[in-house]
Amino acid sequence: MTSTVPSHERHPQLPKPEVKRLFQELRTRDDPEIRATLIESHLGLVEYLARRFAGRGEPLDDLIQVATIGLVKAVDRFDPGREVEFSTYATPTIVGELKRHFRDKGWAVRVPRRLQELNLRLGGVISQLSQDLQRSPTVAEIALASEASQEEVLEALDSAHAYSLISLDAAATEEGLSYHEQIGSEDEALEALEDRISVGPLLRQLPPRERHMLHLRFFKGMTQSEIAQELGISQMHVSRLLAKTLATLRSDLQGEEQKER
Amino acid sequence: MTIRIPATTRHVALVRATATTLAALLDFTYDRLTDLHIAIDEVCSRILATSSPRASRLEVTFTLQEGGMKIDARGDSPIKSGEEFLTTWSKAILDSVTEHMHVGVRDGVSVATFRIPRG
Repeated sequence: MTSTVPSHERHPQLPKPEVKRLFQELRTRDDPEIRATLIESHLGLVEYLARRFAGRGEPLDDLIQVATIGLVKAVDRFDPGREVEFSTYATPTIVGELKRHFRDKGWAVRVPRRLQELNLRLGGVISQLSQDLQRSPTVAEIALASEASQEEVLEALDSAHAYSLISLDAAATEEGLSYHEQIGSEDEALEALEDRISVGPLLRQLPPRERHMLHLRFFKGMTQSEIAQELGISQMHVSRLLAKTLATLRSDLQGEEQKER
Repeated sequence: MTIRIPATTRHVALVRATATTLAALLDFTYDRLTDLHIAIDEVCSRILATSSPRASRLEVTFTLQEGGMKIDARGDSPIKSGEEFLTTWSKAILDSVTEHMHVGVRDGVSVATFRIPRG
């Protein structure tokens, strides 16, 4: 059961220099106690991020467990030599874990089987049409080739974006409670989250393929069809990965902005 | 066509669904349909993130044009200056997926306007 005691009272945040010192010590001697201390002192961050995903059909306790897995991964991977605070580094990892949970659980629950099947079929259809037409196909052309109505195609394409919708949804804390409001501006846990970050560190944490894809699309101006060809994957997969990656970045960047307001 | 929705990210899904239906009517290609989604997500989330005080409603107008669609999006609360509204990152994304991206002020409220070509 989730306690009603504010998370920052249950899991007091260590001062930043102390966090850095503990990480340096942990990397020197693999002490499980230090690891446990670091994990415990960031459970407030875990709970804060898990709450951003609450109210979407998954119990908060489950979300906190999932987010904790992300925290443990971040603790084990963090390099204290990098010029980034641990909380800044850990946030995308924790959010990524939560999103993966929704993607894995959400699909089967939310999307009817016929749409799942059509969606899977559309990947091949769109690739084939792009090749045949030497351009991206229209919805009408996709519908004709997949023997489905345009409405069904749109529904199926939309279902593929359910994941990015969740991500976007999580970004703005529509409940209106910013982290500031939840724990008070003087709290040390907040201090740990206030680092102004640019998109750079977040980009560097993306898998190489996703990073490469963003570069090709937004900095080299390649179309999705061209990227699909270059990477040897389907256009639909490119579309899905782009939407997913942008939603992740948007969520993380806005999370940081909101903490500053 | 204009839709007005509560300014929450959950309701941005409605904007996207409307845009998708209109884009299909205009025979948008799959690539452009995806660009449309990316642009709507980015602009709406920037409005939600930068409104001060926080916007309570989001208004999006779709204008069907020859060869594409023009979209105006605004909150009901002032947003920060154009430069702040579009971060360098947002600008890079929107410049790639839209035409004529512009953030201006109308009736004291900033309006983001962009166009997506059909194919």
